[in-house]
Amino acid sequence: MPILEARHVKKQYRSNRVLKGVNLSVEPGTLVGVVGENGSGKSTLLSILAGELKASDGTVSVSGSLGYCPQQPVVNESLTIAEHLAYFKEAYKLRDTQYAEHLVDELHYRKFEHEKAGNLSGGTRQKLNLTLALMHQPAVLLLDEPYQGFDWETYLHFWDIVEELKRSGKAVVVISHLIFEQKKFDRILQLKDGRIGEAQ
Amino acid sequence: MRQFTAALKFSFKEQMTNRFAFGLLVVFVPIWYWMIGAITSGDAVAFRFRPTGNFIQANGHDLVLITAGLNVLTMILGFMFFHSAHRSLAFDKRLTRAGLTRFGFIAAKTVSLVVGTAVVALYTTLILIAFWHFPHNIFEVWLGFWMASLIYGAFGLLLGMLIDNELVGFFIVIMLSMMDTFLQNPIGNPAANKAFLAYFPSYGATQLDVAGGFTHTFANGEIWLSLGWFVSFLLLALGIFYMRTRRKSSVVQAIAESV
Repeated sequence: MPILEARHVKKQYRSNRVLKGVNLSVEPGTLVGVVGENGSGKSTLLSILAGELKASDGTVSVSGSLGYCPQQPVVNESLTIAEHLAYFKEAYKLRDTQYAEHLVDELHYRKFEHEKAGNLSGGTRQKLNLTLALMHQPAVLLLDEPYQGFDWETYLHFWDIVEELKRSGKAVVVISHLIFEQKKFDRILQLKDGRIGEAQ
Repeated sequence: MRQFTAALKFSFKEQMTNRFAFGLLVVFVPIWYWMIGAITSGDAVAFRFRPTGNFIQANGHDLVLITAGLNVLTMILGFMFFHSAHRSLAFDKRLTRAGLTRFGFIAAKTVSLVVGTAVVALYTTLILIAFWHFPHNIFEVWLGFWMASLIYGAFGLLLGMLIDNELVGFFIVIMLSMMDTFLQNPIGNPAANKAFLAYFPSYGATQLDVAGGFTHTFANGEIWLSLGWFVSFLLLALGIFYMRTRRKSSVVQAIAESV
């Protein structure tokens, strides 16, 4: 049974029909990639799946909690990494930040724990962005160009985390204009002319 | 309650890290008092005092200090709250998606605004004493400063919800503050006793400050007028915050938690 399902999702901005009826079904424990050219509507689709944007037509159903990692890091420049974790712990109503701390170690940015987000490099902000989306261990994780700015080592650790999520039955959807590690994906879909299909 | 406490704590933390605004307060407030006081004589000026309906003769130098205090407070606090609301809107939205209740958030923003403006108004009042030794009722002067600070803090929040361009928001705060505070001073504006000025946001605060500075009248009606402005701006700002953090979802199944 799919953990995430989109049916006939359409999105139109005035006369511009970005999505013309997207159907997508994601099973638990799978990694799905969505590729497409710049401007093909990938981020629009992900925003609709995440509930950030309302579709012009169609429905999205999700079983369980959702994590969304936007392409541009959404962090507070005045707060430190530790403060971000403490704040989101309360927002998610978590008992502790144990899993978030694990992610900080796994993504190798512990040394910046007490730095304000405004002083962090783009790559470290992206790590924090990912941690905030993941720290409540959502059933479905939606990632928009997640490894932008990662160094090689972090990139490899990112895939370790994704494997760990898959093993624990979580579904992961990655949207990117380029997908290199094709073997890691269970399915790769292509968004073209407002419709989605299996990538060639 | 835990969410409210966290939202309040980080709201204060965010305000405290606005070094530019604090730098302005520390450096600009005394310099502004000194400069504007130095160029204004102490000749008596007729000021229309609404609580009694009469004109009072106010010391020009001291009256202009009140205007200077109101001007600096409204500009800096309007800017501070605009800046923080504008910068943190996307982040606040993410927090509400994660499960932080919007009512908790709104309560935290309100408390941080009320407390923050009270403290900054107190600081500005204490610096004022260094330049003007004999206000009749220093508490009432502080109250007037606080009311103006509340109004412009809430106005800054409102702009932060509406204006995407930081420079535009900043200029709107400056222009409104200048018009509002200086037009009410009969030294800067000989027509300052015109009735239409009563519709300006800081009118009640100016009347309160004049009452505290030059009379033994407690202008409690002006408190209600100022609170009316404050509550109107605040409700508008928080209403827009509530709308802008609303989920525009096509997701049909219940979601336990999401970012």
